[in-house]
Amino acid sequence: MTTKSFGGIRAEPKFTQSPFWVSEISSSDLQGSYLVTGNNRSYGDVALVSGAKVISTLSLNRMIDWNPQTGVLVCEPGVLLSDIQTTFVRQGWMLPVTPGTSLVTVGGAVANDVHGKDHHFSGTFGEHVLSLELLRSNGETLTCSKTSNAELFRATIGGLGLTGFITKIAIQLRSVKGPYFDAEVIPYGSLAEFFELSEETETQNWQASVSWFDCSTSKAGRGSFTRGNPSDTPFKSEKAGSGLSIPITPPFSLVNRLSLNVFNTAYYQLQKMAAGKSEVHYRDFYYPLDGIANWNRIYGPKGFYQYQSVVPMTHAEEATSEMLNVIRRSGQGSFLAVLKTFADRAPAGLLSFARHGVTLALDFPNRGASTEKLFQSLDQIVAEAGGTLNPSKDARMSREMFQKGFPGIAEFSKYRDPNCVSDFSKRVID
Amino acid sequence: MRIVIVSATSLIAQNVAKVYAEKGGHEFVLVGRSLSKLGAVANDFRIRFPTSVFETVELDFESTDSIRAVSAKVFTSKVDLALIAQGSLTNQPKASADLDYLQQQLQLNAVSVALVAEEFADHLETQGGGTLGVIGSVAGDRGRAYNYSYGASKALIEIYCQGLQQRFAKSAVTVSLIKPGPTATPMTVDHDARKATPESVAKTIVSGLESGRRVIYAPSLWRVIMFVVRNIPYAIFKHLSF
Repeated sequence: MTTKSFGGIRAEPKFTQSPFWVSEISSSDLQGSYLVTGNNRSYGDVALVSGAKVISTLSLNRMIDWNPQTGVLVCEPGVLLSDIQTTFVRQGWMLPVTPGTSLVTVGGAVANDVHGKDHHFSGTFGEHVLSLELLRSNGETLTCSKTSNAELFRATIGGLGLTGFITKIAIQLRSVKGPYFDAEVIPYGSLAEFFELSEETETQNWQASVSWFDCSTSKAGRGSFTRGNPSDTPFKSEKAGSGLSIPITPPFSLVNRLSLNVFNTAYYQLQKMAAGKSEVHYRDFYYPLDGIANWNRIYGPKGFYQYQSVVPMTHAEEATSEMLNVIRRSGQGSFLAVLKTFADRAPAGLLSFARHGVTLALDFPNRGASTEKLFQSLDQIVAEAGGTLNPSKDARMSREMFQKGFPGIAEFSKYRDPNCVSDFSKRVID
Repeated sequence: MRIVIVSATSLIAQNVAKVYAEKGGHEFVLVGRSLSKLGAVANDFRIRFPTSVFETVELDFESTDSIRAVSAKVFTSKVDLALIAQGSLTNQPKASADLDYLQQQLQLNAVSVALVAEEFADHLETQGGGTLGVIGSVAGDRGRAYNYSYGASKALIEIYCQGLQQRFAKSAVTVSLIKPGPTATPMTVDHDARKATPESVAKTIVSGLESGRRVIYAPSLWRVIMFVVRNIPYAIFKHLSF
């Protein structure tokens, strides 16, 4: 059976197992090479494996314990973030960190130590994991936290599923007054303005921020900056989702130079009109694309790549503008270019991607060799600036680039479960 | 509402419970073979649906004593809806090769369903009303080479429900036979577009139960498909392989 990543990368696992009960999983299920997976939202190959067993956690989606006084939730690894948000926002609690989609599992969020719009305020997902239970192929079941099996805990957070089977997770939610954000949208004309806005946002202690920017038209470098704080408005009755869906995969990518120019210009104008302050629902604030099911299909059968880099603050501005120039010259603009600063915080995991600096995320349709050529030029800029790429998005970085960008890998290998393997680990680690 | 769900750990039953619980506060009695699995499901429901109440009751599907005792216990308060959902997809080649396996499958899929339905029917009659939903399958609509052991069990359920429906025609007891088509597990969702999700199947079941339908196909398209399947002449049918 072929499995496919969110970006359209394929793999042929030996077989897939989808257990229903944590109580029925034992180390005998972990014999031979295996990879535990979630909701397949990773763009590249961290959640893919060929020639080995896949154990899906999608049916292990039960909440185990909830303490409404402390906001601590204990759950199975297959619970979706969307379930947590909708269940607890009514009771005055939300996830302190969430990526740009809520359709990922808690296990996946831990294994990729995901980040989101609130990185500068609350760090990565892993910082809010209190403890987790890990089943290893040698038969051990270990409770890991900052105080017990602390090294294994650090290796498992952001460990790309390579340290064993996470069967239980305790996370700390954050108390909120309601599901709304007081958001502010600020159009900007240049990268320099972006950096000024980022700094101001961090000093003013805004909880969440992100920025879209135009990297395809002649006015590239302009963009719009969005920031928000939780609003005091209490919970009102929910509206239903849009129900929009991309029903089929078109035979070719709908993202091309023409549509990009039209989109980027139109989006900029829309953002300009939307500029100013408003109250928005957390779903629209955090997850604008979750309302459109299967939006990845617009890229056609060849799929797309997301290129997400981080470069240290010291070189951020020049590296980013250089990348922008390379992208413009290549003519392969990106539909969604997202720019954000990461705060200076100690990473939660040994292999955590988020680190002090500026992160740039770009979507490119897969055009084969010409796309790879562009990526190599971008790699060079990123590497020279002392940066790296996000494994959860990556499908093609070199072994050297990974090893350089993740110096914790040597220490990590001590805590790896010897039976865990992924197409990503085969490509850049093993 | 007070809702009793037998084999509450099954995927469709869990999703039916969720549809009701999302609509508001109800009292649920979750019945099943394993208290530990029922406990896991009940805990999850208690966290997700704090306005509803969930109780768990253990039942041995092979024991008439257990079926009698559990029925008496759950009907000590008025039951508005009882859903009988136990069943296991029989592996036909295995059933053909192994009589003990076949016996155990027929016992669970056909006999235990009839026994619980009969016992519940008596209690519903005594309390003077309520709805009984029984999960059959489209597989019971016509015997086919690839799943006739499972299909025959589900056919027994169909005739049993028809009998109960006629028996209660003049009373306030409603009996609905539910026939789900093949249902996707989370893993098959992306791969097999012909299979409906348990969430959508559950929604169809609940709206069918609420409108008191005698036979609920879920998704409802299966009513048409199975009408065609039932009416294919045998001369053609024998050459088909599905």
